Amino acid sequence: MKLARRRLLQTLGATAATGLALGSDRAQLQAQEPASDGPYFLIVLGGTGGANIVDSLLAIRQSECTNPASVYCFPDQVVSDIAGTDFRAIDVGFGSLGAIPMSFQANQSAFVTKHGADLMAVTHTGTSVNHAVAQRRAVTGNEAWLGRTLQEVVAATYGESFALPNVHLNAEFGFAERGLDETLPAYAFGETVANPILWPLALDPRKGVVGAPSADDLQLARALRNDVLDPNSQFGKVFAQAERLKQWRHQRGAPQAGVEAQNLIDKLLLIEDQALLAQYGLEQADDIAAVRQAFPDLESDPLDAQAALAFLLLKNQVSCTVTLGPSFQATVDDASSVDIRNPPIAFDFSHQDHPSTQAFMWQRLFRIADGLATLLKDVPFGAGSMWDRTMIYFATEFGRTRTKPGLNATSFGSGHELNNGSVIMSPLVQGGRARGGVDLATGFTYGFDRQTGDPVPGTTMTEADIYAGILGALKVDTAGSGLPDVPCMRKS
Amino acid sequence: MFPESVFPETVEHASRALLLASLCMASFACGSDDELPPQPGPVTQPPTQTVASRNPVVKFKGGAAFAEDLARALRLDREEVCLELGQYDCTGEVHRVTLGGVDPYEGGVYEPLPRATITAPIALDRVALSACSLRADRDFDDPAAAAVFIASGGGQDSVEARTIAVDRLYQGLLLRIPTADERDAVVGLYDALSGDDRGRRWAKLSCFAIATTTEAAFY
Repeated sequence: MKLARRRLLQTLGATAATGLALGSDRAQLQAQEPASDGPYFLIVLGGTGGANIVDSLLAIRQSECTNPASVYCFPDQVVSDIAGTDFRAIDVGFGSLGAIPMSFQANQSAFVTKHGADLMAVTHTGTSVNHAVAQRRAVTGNEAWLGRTLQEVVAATYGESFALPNVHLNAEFGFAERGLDETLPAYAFGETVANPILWPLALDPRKGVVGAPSADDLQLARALRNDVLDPNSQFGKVFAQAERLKQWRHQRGAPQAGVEAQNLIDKLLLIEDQALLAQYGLEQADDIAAVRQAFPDLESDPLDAQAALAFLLLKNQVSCTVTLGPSFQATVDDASSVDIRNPPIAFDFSHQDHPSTQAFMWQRLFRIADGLATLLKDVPFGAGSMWDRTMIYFATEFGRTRTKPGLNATSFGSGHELNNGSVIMSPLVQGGRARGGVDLATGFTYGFDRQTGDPVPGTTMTEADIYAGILGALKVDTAGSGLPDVPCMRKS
Repeated sequence: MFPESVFPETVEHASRALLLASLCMASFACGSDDELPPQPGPVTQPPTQTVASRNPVVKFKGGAAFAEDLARALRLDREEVCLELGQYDCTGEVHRVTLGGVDPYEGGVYEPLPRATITAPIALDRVALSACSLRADRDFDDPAAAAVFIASGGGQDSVEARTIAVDRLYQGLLLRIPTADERDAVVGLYDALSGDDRGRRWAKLSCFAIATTTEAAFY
């Protein structure tokens, strides 16, 4: 492998030029108008712990419930009908969140009124009450299409020209698990972000590094490493066919060039201290003021930080699908010992106190969805806005048991229940409509006709139905998949 | 540092040659030329023939071990290897999960990611570049206390000084001496640079190139 010096210099120069050209091509591709009708964007907002649909859009009143003393329903005065929609909303105050001594007011009607035309409720009955398993099934439709997650399908369909098509902003849960279909292109699989505030620093090898050499110099060193040292070392030869090394070498090629060419480190940084950033030659994201207005707690609440970065990833067309959601971990505002941002185990805190937990957590999800939709409506895309092409899927694990201990009981726990429903929010779906309904004698949901959307008592929809309906609304070609067609979920 | 299994075939090959040579020298009773090395004299280097592994499985070293190795090789305190914005530890906090770590208490990440993400090689480069830049700048700013890039004659502008530095980097970062070709290639990187301060720039780049080889990042 003896290389003459001249030959080495030629190799370094040629490789550096190739690497730079790769980055340029990728950047150029990024700037092109999207091919055909795409892309469409999917936000998976996880209802960690079991977001119960009859605690929000499909709530039932005591006066209409057949068994109000034992079936979960609400006092009539806290339930609002939202004009022009099939939905209801719960506006109620609590003196505590379970045993946590903090009062709060939950107000769903403002959100449902504002976004009702883009909201759809779909009923379904799941197949697991295990948190991790149910989360996974919520995004794979119970492995309905070769084990591909919704995010992977969207990324594979629309993400080829995106630097990081599929980003998981909450790594802890099954909504962000990797699917089973290894035949999908590598770019379709999720990039995990553990810390949304600091992660963008990993998008550039040298910017912000004290004393770092120039980009051109770095390119020469990388060429030496990639084209001379690595392939000719004994280690490189002995393990040339190792899968991990092949993947590593691939990532050091076009995918890395695609990320670095876009200067994402300056487009995605959420760090508040501008003076600190300037000291290291870095800048805040351009949209930081609007983002902070929508998600004011991004420094103290991980969900706000996830949402802020999610918006920037979509807005800058770095990603076409992002996954976020509240953690199982408790989040406490440092400024107050009793101000809980996220209760322990999120929606699953319903085990201790169902009504207050569900109200608190639905409010939390609605606030995040409102922020994302509002921001995306201000991002021009073609003749409309990015929001016109975006869906927020409130993925959930399962519902909660529908019993309560007495007519006037206001504080009690619930268990896991397969029967439930999901909220989908998008201009791409049949807005304002509920697909399916609620049995007033049991509080359980029933299914709907896939073609017309008409409620069909006595039936239930599967995870695969919802999976297929979501992909249909996002205009994904599912021919040959064996998935059911669910036209009632998409806007005609 | 690397376990023997990293180079099983090579080690086996070298060991067998050494064993046979030793036996020949001890007994003066070598068999036919078909069975034994033709020249059983002193063995100074292992055979260079490399056989591809039939079971090529490697593991990523991970950010924590990578940073420890950088600190040891470049004679830096572990805490100063890489600090984002001067305050966030790169491998202990910022790039911890990206570089194969876990974050159970805050991030809920209980197991390392099953596969390296697209940003992992970039983060690894960033960590190495930080450590290498720090080492080079210290050595150039205070030559009397230099630890790796020791000035001799024309500093790193001389081939001799660069050769010594490359040997130090290989021994520190990869725990082996470079082959002649590797040494020539890294020393020759200097000639690809133009402009001012080539010695210092070469020092950072040569350190970075060696520190981020797959041999340094995987085992």
